[in-house]
Amino acid sequence: MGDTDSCLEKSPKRGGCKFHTCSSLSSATQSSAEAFRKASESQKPKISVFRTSESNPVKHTLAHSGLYYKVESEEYNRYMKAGQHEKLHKMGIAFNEHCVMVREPALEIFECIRATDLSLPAIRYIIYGQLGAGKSVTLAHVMSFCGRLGWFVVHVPWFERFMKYPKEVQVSSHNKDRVDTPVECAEWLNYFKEMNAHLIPEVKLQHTYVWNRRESTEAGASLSELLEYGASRSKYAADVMGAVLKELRVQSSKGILKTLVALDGVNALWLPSKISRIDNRNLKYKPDELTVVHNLKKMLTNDWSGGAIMSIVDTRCSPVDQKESYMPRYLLTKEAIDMLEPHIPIHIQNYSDKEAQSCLEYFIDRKWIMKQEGLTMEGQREILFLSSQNPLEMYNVCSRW
Amino acid sequence: MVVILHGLGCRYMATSVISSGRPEDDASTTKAEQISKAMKAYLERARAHESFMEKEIHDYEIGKRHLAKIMGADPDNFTQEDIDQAIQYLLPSNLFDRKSRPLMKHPTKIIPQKIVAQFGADGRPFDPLFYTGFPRYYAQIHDLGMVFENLKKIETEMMVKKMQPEKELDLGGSHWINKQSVETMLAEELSPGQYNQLINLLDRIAEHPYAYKFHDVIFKFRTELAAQTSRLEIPELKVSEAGRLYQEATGGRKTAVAKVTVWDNGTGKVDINGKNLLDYFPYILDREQIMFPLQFTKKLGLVDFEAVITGGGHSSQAGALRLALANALRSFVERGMVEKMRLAGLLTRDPRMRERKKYGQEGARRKYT
Repeated sequence: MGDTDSCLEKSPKRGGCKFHTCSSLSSATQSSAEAFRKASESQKPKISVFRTSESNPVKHTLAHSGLYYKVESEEYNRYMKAGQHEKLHKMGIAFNEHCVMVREPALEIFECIRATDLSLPAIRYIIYGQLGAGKSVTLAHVMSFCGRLGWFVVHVPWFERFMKYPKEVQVSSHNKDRVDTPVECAEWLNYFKEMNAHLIPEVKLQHTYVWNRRESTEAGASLSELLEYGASRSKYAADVMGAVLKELRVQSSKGILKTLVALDGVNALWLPSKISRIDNRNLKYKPDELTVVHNLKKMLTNDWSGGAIMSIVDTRCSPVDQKESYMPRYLLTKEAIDMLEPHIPIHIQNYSDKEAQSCLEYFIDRKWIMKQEGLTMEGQREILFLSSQNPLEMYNVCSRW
Repeated sequence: MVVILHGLGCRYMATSVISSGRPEDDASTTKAEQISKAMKAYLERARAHESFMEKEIHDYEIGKRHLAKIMGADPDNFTQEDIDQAIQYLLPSNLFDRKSRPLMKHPTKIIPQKIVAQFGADGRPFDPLFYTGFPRYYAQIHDLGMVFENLKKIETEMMVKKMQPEKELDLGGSHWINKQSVETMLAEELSPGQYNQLINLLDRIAEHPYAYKFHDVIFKFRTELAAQTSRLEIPELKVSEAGRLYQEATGGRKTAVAKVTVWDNGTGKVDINGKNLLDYFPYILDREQIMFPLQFTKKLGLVDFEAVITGGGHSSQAGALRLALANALRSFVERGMVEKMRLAGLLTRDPRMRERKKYGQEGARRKYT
């Protein structure tokens, strides 16, 4: 990394773009000087540009498109630890650093968020794309961007834990028709607390929440008190989660704070859960009967303002027989589409030629491509063909080179 | 051959006559007379064959003229091609075996030729191998035997001189001629054993380090392999309305059928039933199969292709697409490369099909127990 970076930093303003290689020199030089230059260039390793030293997502522009930026470990642990593909973590360990590529869909979302009038109802974005195309990484990039802008981030990376295999199920104390998954809710509260640790202390509650005859959280108490209560009294964790989300909605609408809702695999919210009913083991709970789903669907309605709603539709969440297409209209039920209209669709495609080249160079730099054949033109063409320039598949294919 | 058996029979008869001790008057016929009798029989047969052939040829010529008249053509300029066409028209046949269909050809091309033996005035054949029954075959074996002896001699000389052979005999791209070809070459009918004996001898000669010195002798018995693709017609590249070159082809494996259109001057775009390669073939094994023809012809990333695949499973679909791609890519490469593709097995359809289930069994091979 060192060489490339220092080269870029030393020559920041050449020809309007600082990412060009220094190959274009004046042609009107003496022949001997030309020969000397050629000789010295051939000895120097080829400078390839696949990185940017700009690690602040807020400053990412189209000029950075297709380049990797290094994610600081603190930021990585905050926004990317959960909800990413297992391979991304393995890659981080193997490469001894965490790098994310700046890609155009993310930049498009940045532009949209910047241009949004926050007094109007929150805009919904639906991110979709092929398996391994980089939907979750793009979401993490957006979360990182909003985090830098001082937004609250409500990230739900794993619906499976709520809807498929919860550790405990109990009837909600707030509404007898619904059930809670307290352990997972308490876990999520902790996750939320860690992610927004730097913003939570300043927030005061605007409503009073009565949990039972003796216990209640008064208006004016801090948000961290509410979160602590939820963590210690896991019986009410699901309701505390609802209260936190409500506070965020209300306060965002008033302009006190800003909220980014980031739901990964949102199509799961309309799919039947795998939790057997307490009264009849043969039947499963409908999604709306879960408190978590009920609360999160409220976040998806755009009756609040002062934020943005990102949601990913993913074939991973859908049943085995419904994985033919990754398009939102296929993966979402009619009810879901009616609820999510209007929205901005964001299609995450496989790598473009430029991005794929950048990725190959990064892998060569990190010694992920080690064989001599992988460095040749033919070998790289093979990698690109076999992977269809899909980010995840490129990692898999290159692991054999 | 019949002649020979007859002669031998006579000789044996003569000996048996002596050993049985019959009266000498009965065995009044001398040895020379016996042979001349055999000669007579042989000559008779030869004459009969000749007149038979004459008659056949005469019939053929007459028949040809009749046929020309039926077809309303000029009888003097009626060629063999015209005859074939006329026969196909007048006696249409759908029999599977082409040899079973009606034909009309010059008798010398249908009736096997017979060698005319040369005899002296005393009735003895000139050829010392005449009585072996296969004079030409054994003459050939003798010649090859001498070649082998010569080779051994050369090898000993070279060992004494402490010299190494200059080069190796290159037998690549050719194989031994088949039994039928040997038979037409020698004009004698051979048994499988005799053919094997000849090939074994040739093998021993060809394996010898100094075999290159008898290159011409060995290659008289070999045929080139490369002739196959030169006979196949490779379609020309087509031009689309937009002026872009392309080629269409089909391929199959098991029950899968792939139709592919390969476009020249591409960037490696792939469209399979409206999906990209990874989406359609999640297994890397299948994608490697599809990559092989492109990689082999060095067209990876230089052509685009669209494919429509039906039937079969994922593996057979990949195989079908591989064959279709290889067929289409023939038009994009030169002849030499097409031959290489054929040798690499790219242009051959995989003939294996699903094996049927058997009654009393769980499947094709598996038993219920």
